[in-house]
This record gives sequence, C-alpha cells and structure tokens, in this order.
Amino acid sequence: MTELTIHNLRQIDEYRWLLPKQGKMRTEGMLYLDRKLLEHVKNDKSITQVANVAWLPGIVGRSLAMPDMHQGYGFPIGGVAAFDPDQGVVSPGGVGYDINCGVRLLRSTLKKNDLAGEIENIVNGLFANVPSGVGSKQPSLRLSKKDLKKVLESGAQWAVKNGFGSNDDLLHIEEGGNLGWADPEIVSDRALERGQAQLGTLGSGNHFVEVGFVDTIFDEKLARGIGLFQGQVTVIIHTGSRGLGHQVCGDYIRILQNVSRKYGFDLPDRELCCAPVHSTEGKQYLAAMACAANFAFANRQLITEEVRRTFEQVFSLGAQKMGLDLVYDVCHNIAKFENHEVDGRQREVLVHRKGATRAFPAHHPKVPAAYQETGQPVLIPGDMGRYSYVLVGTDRALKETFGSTCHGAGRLMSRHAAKKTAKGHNITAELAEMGVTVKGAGRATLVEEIPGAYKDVEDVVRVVHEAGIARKVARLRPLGVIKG
Amino acid sequence: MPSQGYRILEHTADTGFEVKGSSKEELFEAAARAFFHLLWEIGTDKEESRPETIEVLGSDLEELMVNFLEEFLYRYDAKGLVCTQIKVVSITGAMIHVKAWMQGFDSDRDRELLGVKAVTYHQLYIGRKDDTWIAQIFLDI
Repeated sequence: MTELTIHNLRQIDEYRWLLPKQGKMRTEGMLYLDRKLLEHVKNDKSITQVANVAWLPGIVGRSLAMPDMHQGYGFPIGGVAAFDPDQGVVSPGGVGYDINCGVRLLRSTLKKNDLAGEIENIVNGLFANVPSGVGSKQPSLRLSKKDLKKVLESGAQWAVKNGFGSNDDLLHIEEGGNLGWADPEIVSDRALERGQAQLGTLGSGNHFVEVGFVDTIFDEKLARGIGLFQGQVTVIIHTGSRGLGHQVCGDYIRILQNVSRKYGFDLPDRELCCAPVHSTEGKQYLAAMACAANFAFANRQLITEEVRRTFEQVFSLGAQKMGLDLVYDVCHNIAKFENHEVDGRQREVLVHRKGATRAFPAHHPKVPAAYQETGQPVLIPGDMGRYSYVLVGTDRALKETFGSTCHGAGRLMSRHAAKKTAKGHNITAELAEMGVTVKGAGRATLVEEIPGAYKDVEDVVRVVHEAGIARKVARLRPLGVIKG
Repeated sequence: MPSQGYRILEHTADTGFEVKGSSKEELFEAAARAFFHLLWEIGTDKEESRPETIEVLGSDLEELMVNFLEEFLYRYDAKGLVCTQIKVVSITGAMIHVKAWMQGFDSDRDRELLGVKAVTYHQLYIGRKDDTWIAQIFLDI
C-alpha cells in the first residue's frame, strides 16, 4: 500500500487550504479550516485521506473536507466528494458504517422556565421510553422481516402511515424521509435481523437525545423564519441506521473489494473499495444503502414520537399543544444523486457526504416550502455539556461544496485519553453543575463522551460561517441529555 | 502486554488493538478474546453450556479476521448473544473453524463496555515475524 505524504497545502484565504494535485490524485483537494483547526488535523491521516479520495475514478470537482475533518476509514470524516454517474464510482467508505446517521431538531412553544423542576422527570422519562437497544434494552416494536422491508422501502413515510407522527413531519425531513431507489430484496438476512432487533432504538457511542433551549440568536429574521425564539425549548435527536446500516456497509465493503480488483482500480486503502455507479454491484450498493437510510429516517421518526409521548406524560398536555414540531432532519452520512453546477453547466452527480451535512440555500427546489426564504436548516450538535448550532445553507455552499457544510465538533481526545481525563471525576455531577442533567446506560459511554473529549463546536461553526458555506442562526444549550 | 493479552492502539477517533500468537489459530483466538474483553463485561460464565461450532470464510487472512469478528457482532446485535469462551479449532485455507460458548446478554448482570459498529480494514495488519504472528485491528465505534 502506498501513501501520499502531504506537504504542499496552499493557503487561499483565512479559511481555505488548497491541496494541489499530486501523485495519483485526479483532482485537487480543498480543506475548510482555520489555523487552529489545521493544527488538530496535521497530526492524523485525514489530509492524506482527502488526497486518497481524489484518486477515485470519475471524481467531479474537488475532494473536499469540512472544518470538523478528522481521520476516518477510507474517506476522512468531514469528507465530501461528487462522482460522475457514468464514469464515476460509488464507495461505501464515502458514506461510512452508520448510513444516514443524522440529526433532527424539534421546536416547541415551551420556554426554558416551563422546564424548571421538570428536567429530571423528562430525562428519566426519555430514558425509560427511548430504548437504547444496547444489551437487553430492546424496543417493544419488533417487526417481521416482511414488515421491516416496508420500512426499508419507505422510511419515515412508513412510520407516519403506521401512526408515528404526521404528514407535516415528512415535509421537514431531507428527501421527505424516503430515498425512492431502495430495494429491500438485496439487503442481506443478517442486516434484516440486526434491524429487527433495533428499530426505534438510539444506540450507544455519540448518539443521544438532548433537551435544550435557544440561548443565542444570531440572525433574528432567519430564526423567525424557521420558528425559533430566544429561550425556546428544543429537542435534538442524533442517531442512525443502527446494526442494519453497519451490516449493509460491511456486506458491501466485502463485495466491493473483489469488484475493485475486477475493474483494476488502483486504491491506496482497502476501505476505499468502490464500484462503477452504473455497474450491477454499484447499483446494488446504492439500493441497499437507501434501505439503511430509510431505516434511519424511520428510526428518528419513531424516537420523535417517544419524545412527544414523554413530554405529554410529564406535562399532562397534548404534544400539539406544546408545539413539538419538527424543524428539520438532516443526514450526515449519505450518498445521493443531486443536480449541481459544474464548470458552468448543470449536471447530475453522485454526492458522497461522510460526516458532512447538506446545506442548500434559499429558493433551491429541494428545500421545503417552509424554508424557501431562509435556506435549508442545518443542525450541528456539539458535545453534551456545551452547545449546538442551527445554521442555514447558502449559495456559496451550493457553488463551492456541492451544497455541503460541517456536521459536528469532531473528537479531540481518543477514547482512552478521555477515560484517563475522566478518572476520579463524577461526570454526572460535574455536568449537573454546568446545568445539564445526563443519564446514560453505562459510565463507559459517559466518560468517553465528556465535553473535553471534543473540539469546541463553536470553532468549527465559525469557520463554515466565515467561509460562507453556512450561516449561523441560533445556538442551543443543553438542559438534559440521554445517551444510549 | 497487559494480562488480557492485547494492547490498545488508539488515535483520536480510532480504537484498535494488537494481539500476538505463536500460530494463526492462537492469533485469531487472542483477537477474539481481546475483542470480547473490549466489548463486554460478563457477570458469570455458564460453564455447562455446550459450545456452538462456527465456521467463517474469507478470501485472505485479513478478510477472514474481519468476517470472523463481525460474526460475533451480528450474533450480539441480532440475537443478543455474547461469547464467554472460544477455541479456534483450525484455520485451513479460507476457513476458520471455532467452538464458541455463547449465552444471552443479561443487562442486570452484564455490561456493554464499547458500542462497536464494525470491524474495519483500516490499517488492518496481519503478519508474521520470526515465530510470532501479529495482528492489528481497528474498530468503528
């Protein structure tokens, strides 16, 4: 295996670093970073990974990296790349194991003060109602394989049709909560079995449900446009396609290793295995990936209903009375066909976003009617002690990054280092002191996910805002968090 | 190496481990033990349970290792089963043949220590130096 060593970064402006075409790169790379963030990424392999992505056949435009970039498997986390549907490839490593891991945000008519004295009850209620799926914390809903295939075919639409949420929810989900090219028949039995056991579950690691409030508004008009106001209670749900998605990714990495050899692709990393978009195997991966994406949309929809139920239990009020509406639901691990302007003409490309969020501007046809004037809401969760951001997509993102921006804070410490740091600390008590009530299935997750283990998400958001590839709207602070 | 017989390999966003063995069989057995030790804390072993025979295929040693460990992730996710004891019987060509003592995960007694999404090919290394087999394996978590 050969590996490029990257020494030739060229600074374009305060937030853009060009990675010149070198070695077997077919195109150049562009990194969105300030100097401080560059210091973080210099020490891992993520810049090499941006270069590696540029090796792939049929790449269109640049190999891109968002400011939360860090070393991933194959593609870097924070990587964005588009491919020609005829000459290009699709790579499971460009999506990741947690297919359609994503974030949704609920707003409410409640104010922070309404939660006074109730946050403990809400957190306990969420913990009881939202199964983590870890060990034996299983969901009450267990579908037959036949019914699960319906979920894989229609995603959040299946959930709404079966009484979990409303049609209004569907209008506020990327792609309406359903990728139409899913084919459940090519998903392996193993993936289905993992899905059966985990539909409606949160999972462990960095997945969470967070109750918080709007603590800062950066743009009054945009905030109003997406229904946010100062002091408003909000809920963030962060999870993905669980074991079903992990299995689909693993299945296709296995299959595409051979396919890559068959097509004679020169790959710098086994995790970059890929297939031509138009090949049988490429189409099959995309159809299976869409199934996993739909599972994730349905999963977040089911958890949303559990959040609404929990609020109803705590406040003895209907969820609608509390205005627990969906602001938006974004994917941050996905590959999708989209129309973009490349070299002055509109064309279809297959955009891979791995740890990156779609950020389409106002008046884009893919942006829901409610956000035609504001641009698509972009949800950027931070660590569990600090804050999260709501942004909107911009014209500049559409022009420069295939309408993409960052997805989160990115880790700063390894899990082991986090454990060491947390040693002797009572994390739950320290977070409580910061005003955040946390409940997690295991201490292991809590200590690995301590706030200090992550970069300050503000540093990441500042870069996308200043670089113009998203615009800040509001900042949310956590009050209560459940972790799987 | 610590008493569990493996060494943690970590970078900011990676978790991996290194194991050694004097044969391929020992190496794979050590990898499985390390993997289970990272994933779970199991309260008690049901010694009386009968081992299951598990066979896994892979086109080379790397793929065999990934598929072998993934087999246990699948059993955990889909069936709620954890492995308490393992014996690698043989590795011949593209197949590993093991005896595994499996039991149901009991949340009152057992703990999940690490939520693993997948076993990856990222920096995966399996090799032999003199008489020692070495493997480095990274997990997506």
